[in-house]
Amino acid sequence: MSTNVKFRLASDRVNTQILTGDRIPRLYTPGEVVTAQQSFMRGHGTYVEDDDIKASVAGVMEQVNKLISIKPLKSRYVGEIGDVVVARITEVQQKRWKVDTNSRLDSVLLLSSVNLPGGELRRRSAEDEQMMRKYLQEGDLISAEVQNIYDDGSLSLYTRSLKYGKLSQGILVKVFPSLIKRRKTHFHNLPCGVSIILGNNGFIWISPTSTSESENDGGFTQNLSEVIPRADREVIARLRNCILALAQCKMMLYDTSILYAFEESIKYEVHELLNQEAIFDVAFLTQHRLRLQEI
Amino acid sequence: MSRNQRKIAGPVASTPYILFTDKLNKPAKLKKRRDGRKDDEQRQIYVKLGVTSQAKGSAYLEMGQTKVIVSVLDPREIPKQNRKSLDGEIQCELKYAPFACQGKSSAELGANEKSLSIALKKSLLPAVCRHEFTNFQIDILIYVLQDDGSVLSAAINCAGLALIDGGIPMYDIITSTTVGVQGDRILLDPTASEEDICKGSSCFNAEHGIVVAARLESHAQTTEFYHIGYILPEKFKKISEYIFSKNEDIAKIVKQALVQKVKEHVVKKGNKDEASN
Amino acid sequence: MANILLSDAEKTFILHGVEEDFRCDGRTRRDYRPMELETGIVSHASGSARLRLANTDILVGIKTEIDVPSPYNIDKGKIEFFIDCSANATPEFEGRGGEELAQEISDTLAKSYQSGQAFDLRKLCILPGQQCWKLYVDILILECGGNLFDAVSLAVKAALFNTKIPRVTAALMDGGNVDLSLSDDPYDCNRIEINQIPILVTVCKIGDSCVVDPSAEEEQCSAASVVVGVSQRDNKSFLTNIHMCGVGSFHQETLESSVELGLSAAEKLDEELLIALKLEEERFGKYGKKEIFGFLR
Repeated sequence: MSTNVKFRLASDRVNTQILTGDRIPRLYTPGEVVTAQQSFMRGHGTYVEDDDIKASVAGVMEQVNKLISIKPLKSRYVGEIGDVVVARITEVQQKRWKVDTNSRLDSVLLLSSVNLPGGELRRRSAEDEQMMRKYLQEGDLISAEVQNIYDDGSLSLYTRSLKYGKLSQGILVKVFPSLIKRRKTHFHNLPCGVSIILGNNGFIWISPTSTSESENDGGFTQNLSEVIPRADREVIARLRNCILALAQCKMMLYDTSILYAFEESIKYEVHELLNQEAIFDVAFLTQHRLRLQEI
Repeated sequence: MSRNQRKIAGPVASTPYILFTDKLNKPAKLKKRRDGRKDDEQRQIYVKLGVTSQAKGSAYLEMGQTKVIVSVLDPREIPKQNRKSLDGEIQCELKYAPFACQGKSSAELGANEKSLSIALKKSLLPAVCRHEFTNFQIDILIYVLQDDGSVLSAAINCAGLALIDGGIPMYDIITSTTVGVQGDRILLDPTASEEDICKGSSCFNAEHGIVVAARLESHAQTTEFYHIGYILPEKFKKISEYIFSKNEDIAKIVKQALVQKVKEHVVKKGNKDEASN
Repeated sequence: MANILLSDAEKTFILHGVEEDFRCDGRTRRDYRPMELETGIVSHASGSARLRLANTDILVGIKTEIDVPSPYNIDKGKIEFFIDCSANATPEFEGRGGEELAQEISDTLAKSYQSGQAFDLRKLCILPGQQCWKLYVDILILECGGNLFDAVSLAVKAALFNTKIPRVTAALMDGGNVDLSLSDDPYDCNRIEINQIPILVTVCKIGDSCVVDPSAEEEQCSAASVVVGVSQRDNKSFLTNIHMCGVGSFHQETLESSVELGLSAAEKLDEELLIALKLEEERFGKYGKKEIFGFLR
């Protein structure tokens, strides 16, 4: 067994921009006039000056009826009610947890918004408040749904459903939130024996599909002694590298694209997927397949 | 923390007179040790505990002409805390007396002080039961009175003793040994001039080097392993085994000193009790 | 280094993966992530190199100046390392945050180069006791993604390979003053012999196993690591320095096996680095001007 080392010369750099090809949409830069008509409403990423709606960020225009907003590629997560997110606990406070959701402000998870062990509808007691760190402590990952958006834009989450809760063993992958395609469901059990949660906030959770559903404990158990078998581990690592490959080539992430990328990547060893050439190849083939489907 | 203000750190215009004597023409190779020791003979060690009255714990240690004093201050709350640490902290500050070495500028010593302080801190951290004083820090002050080689080892041994003397909970006794490599020879506890030769910036064909290791005695854990020079991997293995066997000898001395101290204490106390009766 | 939070479950996953010899990104314990290398990208320096390893981006520039040899070593030149951990690399370096780390890396490099066999300073001497070359090795950390020691040492070695020292055509003593004349031809210069220049490998202890090139997440799971400096000479590997980092301690056996791992990794790194450097030189000619691709991808 020897060490795998690879030096790539800068002159051999792969240009992933080729992938976008001729499909670049109209881009706006800050200060540019988006529309001069007064009949439109200004949305995120815009401001009004002299009756014109101008862009305040660099990005593409999105229009919903009369609402005009500019969406940058790279931005923090802007939450919407009902979004599925993957988030990390950063602080335990009085009756609430502070949570990092990759949005501009910290989000909160209220003690009253989680399912506690021993029945869904029981009252929160003083003991529960003292036990908060037992349920969720700093660093723990959860999946949750956005329940409410406060005036200042910070989010309030809830996990009062069996599908949400504390996450066990797996890998977290972070990508730009704008790369996650909004779909009906963000929980997927892929045929390769692995589950992924595509958080709208750009956090993606990859874990082995759990066989036994735990009941009634509010999803606070973690099996730390369980060793994930090698085969599952390989699939998880491959998925991780595929998702990062797609993200690097700025391709939208949803179940089909990820699955295609996974299938196209089979010809490579998992660690080879860290190479630029493989990343480009997988992304290119995936894009090709997706386009065929569109027609 | 405050540097000596009276001395301006900067390019030194004066040069030590040693340059003009024939002492400078050091041999690149060593034949016999100047103090007549055998290669695997440790210098005489002298230890005394509780030497300064202001500190919580203190120790003085002599290894030949290398002399260090260590004091351990009372644990205090960590000032300007920016994040909560569950474990206690250790702060080490090593200082050289201005006359500690021959022919070294104060700038050189200053740089040395810094890296030795960091090395010392790293080697002591795993030995202390840090979870017992959450959010507190222990200051360890080391003063090198005289440097005649193997300073880091002397400082670690002495600091270990001072910590125990100060009643700081420790997992184990910590001991350290320095070894110099010169060709096929392994010199235990090198002096300053032997260290210079072993460092071997003028050595172009043979193996050479200096190895310092600190170890927790009964856990067989290495807390610090530091090597510079040019040695083959096989030599490294040999040295690491050798150095650890030598550490055991030092541990014996340390234990003896500790027991001695307790005995003295008991005798004193006994005398007092008798007197009061 | 970077302070990231991880849940216990994630740590367990990483730990088991390391034990299984299959890490989170599919690498084995002894694999490196792919690196990108470019030399000669700073036009005002005598030699320069940029190395990118995952998210770590290092730029090294080497300046050559003339100095007077130290009275202790009259027949030797000088080399000095300076590392700048700019706050661009990671917000943690803001203010004085990066100073201690910078000091540690430059100390380790200097110690690794100290032996006369690792880096022969005599070659930098012009007139013994009078004039010598002094190499200023300036290392900028443009982006910090972990595993700094390895990346810095590789980049420095590549920059030294790229360094061109003007040829001294005449050095005369003129009434106590030294009179040097240097060659005008920019292509007429000396190169530095880099074969035996040491490289550093960080071996990170995770659980009871050791890995090279840890990712930021893996660094979080490890309490102790050891930096091993390795120099190649006469087809043999020599250890130039060993240095422990972190708050933890090593068992003797673990220490020995990690040094061994570091050694074998360093041999391979060295081999591949030389191949890459030679390839680049072949492609662009020894002094031919080439297109510069630049930093930070």
